[in-house]
Amino acid sequence: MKKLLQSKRRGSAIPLAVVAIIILLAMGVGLLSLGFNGRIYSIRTASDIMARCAADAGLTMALFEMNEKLKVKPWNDSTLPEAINVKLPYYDAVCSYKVIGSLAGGYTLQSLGQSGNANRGVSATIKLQSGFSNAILTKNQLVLKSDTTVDGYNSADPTDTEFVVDIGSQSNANDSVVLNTGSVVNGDVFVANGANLDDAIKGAGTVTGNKYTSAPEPLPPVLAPDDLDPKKAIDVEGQTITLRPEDSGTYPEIYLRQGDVLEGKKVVGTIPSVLEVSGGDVELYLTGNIQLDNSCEIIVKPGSTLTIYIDGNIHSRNGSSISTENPPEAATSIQIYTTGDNKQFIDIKAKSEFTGTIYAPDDDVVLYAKGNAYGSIIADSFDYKAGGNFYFDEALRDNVSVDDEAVVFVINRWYESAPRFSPDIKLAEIESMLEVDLVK
Amino acid sequence: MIKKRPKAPRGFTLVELMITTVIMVIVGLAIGVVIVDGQTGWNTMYNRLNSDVVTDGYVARKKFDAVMRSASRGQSLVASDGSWIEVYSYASPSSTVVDRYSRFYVSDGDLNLEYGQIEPRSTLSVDTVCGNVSTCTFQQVGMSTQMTLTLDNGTQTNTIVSSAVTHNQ
Repeated sequence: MKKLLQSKRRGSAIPLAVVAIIILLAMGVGLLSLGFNGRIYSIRTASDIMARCAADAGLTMALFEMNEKLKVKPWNDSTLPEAINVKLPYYDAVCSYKVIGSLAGGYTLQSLGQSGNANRGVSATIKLQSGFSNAILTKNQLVLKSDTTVDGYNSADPTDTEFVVDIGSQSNANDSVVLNTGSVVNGDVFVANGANLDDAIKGAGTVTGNKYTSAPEPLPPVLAPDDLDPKKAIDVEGQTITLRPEDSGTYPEIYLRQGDVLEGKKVVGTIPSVLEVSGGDVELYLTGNIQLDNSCEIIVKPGSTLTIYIDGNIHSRNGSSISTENPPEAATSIQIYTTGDNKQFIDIKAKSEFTGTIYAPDDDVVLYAKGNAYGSIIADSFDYKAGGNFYFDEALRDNVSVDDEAVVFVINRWYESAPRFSPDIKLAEIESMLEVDLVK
Repeated sequence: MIKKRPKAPRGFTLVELMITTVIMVIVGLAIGVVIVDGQTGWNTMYNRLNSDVVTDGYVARKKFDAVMRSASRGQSLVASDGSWIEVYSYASPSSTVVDRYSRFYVSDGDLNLEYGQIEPRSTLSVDTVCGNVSTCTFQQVGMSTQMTLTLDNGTQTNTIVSSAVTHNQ
């Protein structure tokens, strides 16, 4: 054994072991390299996604702040939303955003998201969207009675004959829009994304445009004005009263009752109450209900407008009417906004035609006019029982003002810049990136 | 008168040779198993990162993401069974109206993207996004659109779920 160990003959064990170690090392290095590259790719992808989400969040925050500013009347854009390196909660990324532009020239939102070495930029132009962009829009069910036609007109431009009209629901449930036999929509009908069109839009009515699904747009709540003087309730029997601009105020209730017609002490008939609005713009805030007994009327005279903010319900009994004297006029002649915290019920009737707008996104609306209806309806659910057709006033959508009720800034055009990977982006770089259009 | 046998050169006994052989076989087998395992692991990892169903999945996710994020939130169409989706977008920054459509659909195992103009409707191009499509469904909730895509090349299956929010007017 000793001689064997002392033998100088070359063995093959060590070379074999070395070869095996080299092979194993090569494979180990290959595996490590593969894993490392996969890990790097994964980190870069994750950082890119996180930076992109942060950029989207920045844009959303900028848009939210613009809409919060919009709630303060009158509009003031002397300072516009801006923030640098906003830490997003429970998220390993920061965003920076800035709003540039003016009301006349339009506003642009710029947002930059950063996560690790990844940077993503998005920008968007925004526009004002009227609360009345659709002829009829509901959050839930919309029902058109038989033989109703939905079309358009333009109170601001009588020469306009090409109308863009749509009705729809923000629901994707079955029967969200019911078009009864003979009803015709000269435009588009939409329901919310996720709906099955054949199930969500039901009925034998005709749609001349398209049926499609759409992402629901925000329907901002309208706040009751707090600058209207308190007044006594209006509760009249068989009288005609007139409200003028100086009568604008906060009323607990309006109740128009029928009065008795007497001959001696004998009741020989009834006489309805009439509330006339004339002399200009009248603004009423009702903390309670509006009730119209049979045949009672609220009439808006030519050249006047009536704006009602109401926390309660509107009950119109048979033969009663809320209308303008000479319809059709601008749909802004009568504007009704629901402002209550609880579910409200708006029941409007008109002896002939109805012109006006109803903005009740969380409430139920029923409209019964013996003639046509002109304007726009936004409701939680809407039941159109009029004897005539419905005409959308395009001026409501096209002539939107920053001081209107229910307007909201929405993204008009949206752009995304290519991802950049650079460590330690400097504050000055962020600011300079936010100053210019990220797309260019 | 017994002749002394000449002393033979020292060698290995049969037992020594057998023990050595057994040890060599065991060591060889161990090394072989390690090498085969390493090779299998490497192949598995490589396939997970680079096989056609995986890379096709990356491409499909990126394409879906890019199309959906720049699509209009105002209008879209989805098949009742979710087998195809059509969204609308602007052809260029100077476009004033939504004038292009993009339609994802599956045909003969390929996920295709048809791109065209709306008025008058005409197809401008049809691109094959990826092959080996086993199933593909689309669904929408709110402004979000989701694609669930399963790719299967016979030896490997890859399911990706990609969601994107539509941003444009």
